[in-house]
Amino acid sequence: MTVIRELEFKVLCQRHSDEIYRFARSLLGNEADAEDATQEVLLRLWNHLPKMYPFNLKAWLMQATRFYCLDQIRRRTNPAAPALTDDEILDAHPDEQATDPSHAADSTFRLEQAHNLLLKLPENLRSVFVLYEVNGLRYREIAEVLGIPINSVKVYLSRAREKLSQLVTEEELCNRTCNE
Amino acid sequence: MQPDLQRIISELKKETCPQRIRDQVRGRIAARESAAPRLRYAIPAVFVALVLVCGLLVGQWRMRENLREQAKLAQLTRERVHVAHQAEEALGLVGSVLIDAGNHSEKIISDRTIPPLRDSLETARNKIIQHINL
Repeated sequence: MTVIRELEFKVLCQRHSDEIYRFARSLLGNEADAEDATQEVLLRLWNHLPKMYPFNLKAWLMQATRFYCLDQIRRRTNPAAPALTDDEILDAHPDEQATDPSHAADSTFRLEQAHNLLLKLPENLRSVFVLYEVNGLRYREIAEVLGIPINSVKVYLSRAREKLSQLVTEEELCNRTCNE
Repeated sequence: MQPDLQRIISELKKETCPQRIRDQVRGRIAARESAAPRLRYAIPAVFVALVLVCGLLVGQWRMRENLREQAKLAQLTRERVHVAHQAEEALGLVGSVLIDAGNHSEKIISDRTIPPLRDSLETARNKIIQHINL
């Protein structure tokens, strides 16, 4: 029984840990907290595995991640840490898989940029955007995770895209002005 | 969709959960599962031990209470016997006093009352005889 449970857990870990991590990262805004959140959600998955209803597992995992992350955000007493400079980001997140250091740094930098833009969205828009575009959940599943109607999911997604496009344009404009 | 937005999505999709997170989770689960059987037996064992200790304490307390009651009863019995002895002695003393008093009264009566009575009776008889003879 335990062996089957372990095997099942291993498979589910491989399949869903990336999605949990991405969602937690988008909600919490930093890697360390996202790693803690991923661990906690995977432990909850292990605890609930014997009595889990298998058909809505992905939605359950995302919901557990969201609850945990929102709880962590509520518990934060100190204000958010100051934003890191580009050099600090590159030092803190070396890309181990890349062979070319400049390419690795560029990749990490782009990812950080994407996260910074994402963090400028309100939580509900960000959740819908990440769940739909990055994690590939359906409207119905997102509605289940967030506890909102499907139509609201569609509206939130549209607003998130619109807002992100606007933010990207603003940033490009700012970069161009700074370079000049 | 805008190409910039597509770029952001593809960047975010590239992000993966580090393998060490999965390893750490497995490690934590393994540690917890190995500790679980020990706890599974330890908790009932502690419970049983507590019940036994409580039972022993209650037993000892009841035994002490019984001994105390028995001692109290024995003390009461001793006191009763003592009182009975004292009453017996007192009654004996009263009896002897009464006997002495009786003896004393008898002696006084025989010494002081009988001779005058006898004399009176003799006198009365003599007078009666004289009267008859006349």
